[in-house]
Amino acid sequence: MKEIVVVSGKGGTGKTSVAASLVVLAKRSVVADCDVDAADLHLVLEPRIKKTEDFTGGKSASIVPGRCSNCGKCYEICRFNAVIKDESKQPAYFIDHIACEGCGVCSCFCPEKAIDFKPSVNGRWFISDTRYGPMVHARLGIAQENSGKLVSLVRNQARMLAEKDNLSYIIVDGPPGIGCPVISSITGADAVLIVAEPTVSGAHDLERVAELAGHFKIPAFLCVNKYDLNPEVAENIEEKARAGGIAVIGRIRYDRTVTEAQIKGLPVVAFPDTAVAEDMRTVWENLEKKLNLNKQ
Amino acid sequence: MAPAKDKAAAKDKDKAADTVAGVVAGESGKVKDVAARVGVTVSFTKYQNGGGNVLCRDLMGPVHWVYPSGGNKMTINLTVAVASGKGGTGKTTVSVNLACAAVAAGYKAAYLDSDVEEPNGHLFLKPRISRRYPVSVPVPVIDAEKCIACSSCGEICQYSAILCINKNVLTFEKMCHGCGGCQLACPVAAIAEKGRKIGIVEEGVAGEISFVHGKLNIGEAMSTPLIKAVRSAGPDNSLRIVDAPPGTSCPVITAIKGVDFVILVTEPTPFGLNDLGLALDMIKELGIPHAVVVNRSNPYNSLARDFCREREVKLLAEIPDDRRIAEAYSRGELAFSAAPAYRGVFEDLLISIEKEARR
Repeated sequence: MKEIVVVSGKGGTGKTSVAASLVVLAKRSVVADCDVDAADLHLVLEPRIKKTEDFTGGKSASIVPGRCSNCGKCYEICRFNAVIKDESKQPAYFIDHIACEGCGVCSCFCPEKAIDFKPSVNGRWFISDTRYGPMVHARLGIAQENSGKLVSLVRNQARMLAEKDNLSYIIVDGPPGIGCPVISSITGADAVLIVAEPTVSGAHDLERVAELAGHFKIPAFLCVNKYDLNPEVAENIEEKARAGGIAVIGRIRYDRTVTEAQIKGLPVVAFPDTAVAEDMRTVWENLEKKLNLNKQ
Repeated sequence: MAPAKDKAAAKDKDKAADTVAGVVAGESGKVKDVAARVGVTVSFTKYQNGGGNVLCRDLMGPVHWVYPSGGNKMTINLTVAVASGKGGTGKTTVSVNLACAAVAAGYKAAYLDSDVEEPNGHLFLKPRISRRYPVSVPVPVIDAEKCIACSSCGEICQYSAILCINKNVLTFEKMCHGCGGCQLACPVAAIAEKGRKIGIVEEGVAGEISFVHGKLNIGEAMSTPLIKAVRSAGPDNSLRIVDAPPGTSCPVITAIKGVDFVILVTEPTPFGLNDLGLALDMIKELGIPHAVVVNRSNPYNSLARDFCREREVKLLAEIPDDRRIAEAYSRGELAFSAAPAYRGVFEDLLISIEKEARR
């Protein structure tokens, strides 16, 4: 079993469109949407939800009005400015749940034991069926934290499904950036597929995400999406990638079919006669070849 | 577009003002209209009025702004964040061009790139960096001599960043959120703190725009303290434009919390609008005034317009789906200078933001 994570650094380069097509092409696969705070993969894979579970990522503090003596200890020791003081109210202190990092320090040191510190529901996760195989996805609650933990949970569930059904691939649609949720998405994976766009921003962000993959010693592969928007920059990006030991496994052209497929709620390869679908197939064939070479 | 006139404006403001006086004569209706929208008074005999600015629409096309003589910048104290649920919708395009429009309009403006994971604004503004400093988070340091291996520190830590095993205390610095709980919990004061660097902040200028951005170290998961550092840098009493990271969780919340106004940039696709919906939910939770800008818009695609109507959110501007803008972007050029036909879009957007933010 191989786990492939689609990442990009920069947002909006086409991760989800590429991932959706890989899911179709990879056949015996399970798919995991790890962009948990802006998930879109469900819009083109039509999942039928079979199981829904709450996600409790961390704890959250709240002041119990009757017990608070207004001593201000919590206000003094909270380092996240999550205790708000308002002397016109009774009690004069309350917790800003958006700023609260769930460290529990206020609750622990409250002399009146007036601060509850309880697990909080930070989102939900789902196991679904799609016509291309099982899917694990999630939705982080509104303005909630712990996206990294939710990403790990989604990946673990996907792995369990893949093991149970003896599937060959786990395709992970990753989040943008290089921070906490991206690190959670790629650690321990077999390969990352970097989808880049031929712009100076795309080139810049590719370098950072490639460095991240290197940092965690994960083999990285590159495909430039919409390469014909600026073939010169596309070539520069590919050259840089090769110099950094990243295999270039294909190019995907700019094609309005991608947006049309999205509007119809389908993966791009569901339109098999289009040139862009052919590009996607080439990317997958090359990736599969490389992955199986690595195995031997 | 009249480049000769623009040059004159840059070289000699008085001469430009004369030109404008001529334009004003023919366009007084329009000028009054624009002036009324931003709340300045215009004198048609004197082009400078009570230290305020005269603004007028150039007969040749784009909005033309004139500095008050003496070149003093208008003071304004407004922080506007540019965010989006989905990545790659055009946050940086809107932010940097807005900063240019603000400076051209005579404002003191600052651009703060808080997308510390993948900062891109510098590729377009090409700033001269004059100050560079690291940002650290506090992590515990154990004094083994004093430690009595009571495990109080490990018990209070919610992040598994400190553990007491076999009379040894181990710390995992990258897991640490810097809450200081272990230090408070230690009964024998065996825990001190040191700083762990997570990235750097760079400050400088790009033309007349004050520039700030943060760069997160590769492999670093803790981005919010760096975003806070970016937010607290840069000049006050200016139009501060915060270029936010994508998404709807901690990094973007840190970037936009407490700003005066948020612009949500979207594109008229199902992905764009699904993520715009999530971003709207987040922003309502935070209670910040906001409006939408649609990028890559085309007149025949009403997805975004319909969405905004349904969700009862104001649509401030539409940036056309024009290959010239995309190509300028791909080369690292500003639409503001590479596709001058679109200056008006950003100048009008600036006026709308001011008006909305002052409601």
